[in-house]
Amino acid sequence: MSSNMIMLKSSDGASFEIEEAAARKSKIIANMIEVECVDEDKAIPLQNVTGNILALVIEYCNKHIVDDDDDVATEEASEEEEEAKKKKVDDWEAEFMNSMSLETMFELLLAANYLNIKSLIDLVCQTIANNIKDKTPEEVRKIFSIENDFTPEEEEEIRKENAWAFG
Amino acid sequence: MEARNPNKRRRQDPCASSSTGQNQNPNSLPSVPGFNQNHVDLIISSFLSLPDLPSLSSSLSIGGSFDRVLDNLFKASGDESGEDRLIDRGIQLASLLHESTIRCSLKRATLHNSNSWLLPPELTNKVFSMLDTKSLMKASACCTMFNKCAKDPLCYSHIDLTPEDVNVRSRVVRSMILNAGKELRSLKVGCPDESTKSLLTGSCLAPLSYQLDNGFLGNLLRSLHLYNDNWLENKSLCSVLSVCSNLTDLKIVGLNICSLDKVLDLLTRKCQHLFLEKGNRPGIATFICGSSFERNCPNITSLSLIGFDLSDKKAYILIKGLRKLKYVNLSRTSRMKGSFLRDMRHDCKDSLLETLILRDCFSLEEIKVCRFLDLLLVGHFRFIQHIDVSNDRDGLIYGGRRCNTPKFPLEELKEERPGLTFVADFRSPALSPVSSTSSSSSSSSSSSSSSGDSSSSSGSEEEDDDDF
Repeated sequence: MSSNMIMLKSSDGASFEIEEAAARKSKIIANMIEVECVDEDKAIPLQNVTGNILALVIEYCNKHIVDDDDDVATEEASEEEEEAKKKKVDDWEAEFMNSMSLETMFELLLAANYLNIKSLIDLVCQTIANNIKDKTPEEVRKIFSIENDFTPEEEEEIRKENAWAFG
Repeated sequence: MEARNPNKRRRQDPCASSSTGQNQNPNSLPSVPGFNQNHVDLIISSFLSLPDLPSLSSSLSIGGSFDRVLDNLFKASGDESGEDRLIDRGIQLASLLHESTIRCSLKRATLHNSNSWLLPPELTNKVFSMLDTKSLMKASACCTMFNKCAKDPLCYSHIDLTPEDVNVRSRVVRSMILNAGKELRSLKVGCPDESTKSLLTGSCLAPLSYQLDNGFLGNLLRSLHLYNDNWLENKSLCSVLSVCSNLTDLKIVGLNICSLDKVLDLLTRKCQHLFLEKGNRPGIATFICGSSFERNCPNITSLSLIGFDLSDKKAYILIKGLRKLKYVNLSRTSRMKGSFLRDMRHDCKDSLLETLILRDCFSLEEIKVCRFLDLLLVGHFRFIQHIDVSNDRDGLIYGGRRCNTPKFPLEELKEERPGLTFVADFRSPALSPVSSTSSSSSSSSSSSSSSGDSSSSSGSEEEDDDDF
């Protein structure tokens, strides 16, 4: 894997240098590199991503590119080593997501979606889902600052239909 | 006061025309002669913009104005039918205003929600598709946006109604299967807790037989887990299985069927994980007569047949025929003596088998188990890591009697097969052994190979405990 560096520029004008291998985690950027529309000394402008979110995306990509390299280097690693490594990544991801506000999470997910980084989309979706899991509608509304916009009749109907889930 | 009354009077004409309009279809409004929609809007708008008057109870308040105006109109109306119309109109207008206000406030809440929840529907669907079915139902009761997104078929790919089965009715199962439609992949229904009675009937799985563009809805299922409490008749079960031809994973707990072949014959090459546990309906002797199951389903890696009347010969044929088996659980097979273990030395020494569970097999003979362990010592079954021959009847059969001091070659096993966990935990029925055994075996199986020594020796310690 080459260690070419490429530049990314956020919507608010911040520039980030990132290894090409890490940037390739984004299908969009990988495609740009494939069709050679990346100029060596020109930053790729990312209109939909602000600097603070792009920094998180890059942190994630850097972390995961290292892991992928390891996989190639130690193809014959034992199952236990694999497991230990997977646990390390899981721990890192948990810590990474844990430090984030819900608002940042949403923005990160939108950025991951825009840049098409599948594993990051899955990670953030799962974290948001964990915030909904096993909660009552009232709790979920509070967490995400959502207001009840059902008519009383609609709400009654929905609760009746799924009465088993509210038992 | 004087100034107010004529004011209200002047509003009367358009109000009258508006109310005739309101009584009809709103679309027909423009056709009313002399009607001016803008004028009505203007009047309502200025009415709603009236400032709050100093004291609501005083005659200067809006309420006071209403009283006065209505009084005057009553007097002017002349007859009873005119008064009736006035009352109706007043109530109708008030309720229209009330409904409009509510609609407005709900619309505002909807707008607020789209600002707090920034995800587009496709990402919301993805988040929701990661929820368990119960959490999804609760989320769908949060707001209209969630409710809409929670109807996406993707959210129903993996339906799991087992945790709350007690309250789940057949109608719910049916509508979930239909919600999933083409996205249906796995389905878990029934009540794992045997002590509670399910409200389900066999008809809850009927939608699986519905036709899609190319085949049955059930064909989409990869995984099907059924916890039966006699709610599923064998006939319904067989018709369900016959339309689920792509199952890779089938689990049926509480199977009350005379011949297992009826189930086994419906499985296909795709099946990899099979778990069948006999139900406790008395008087049903379940057995397997020779079927071509092992030829039909050569890809099975995990096989559990629990509580069936399986012979040693049949067990041998199964394990010999299913070359990809990694996990075998034949617990509670009371007829089996274990000769299949001995027979396996001929054909199965290269078996991929990793786990063999023979718990509570009350005819199991110690000598057959020892023969099998001897095979392990000479290097056969090199992938095997976990064996469990425990029971709660105080030991295996030795020389026609039950013996709780088995002579297993534990030291040699420890030496030759350090990664192996051998669990032989025998308790008398009086004690309740299940929890302690399962915890000891699960902790040892999850430990690494280096600590496997200690776990196999811990197995022997347990037996020592039983000696005393």
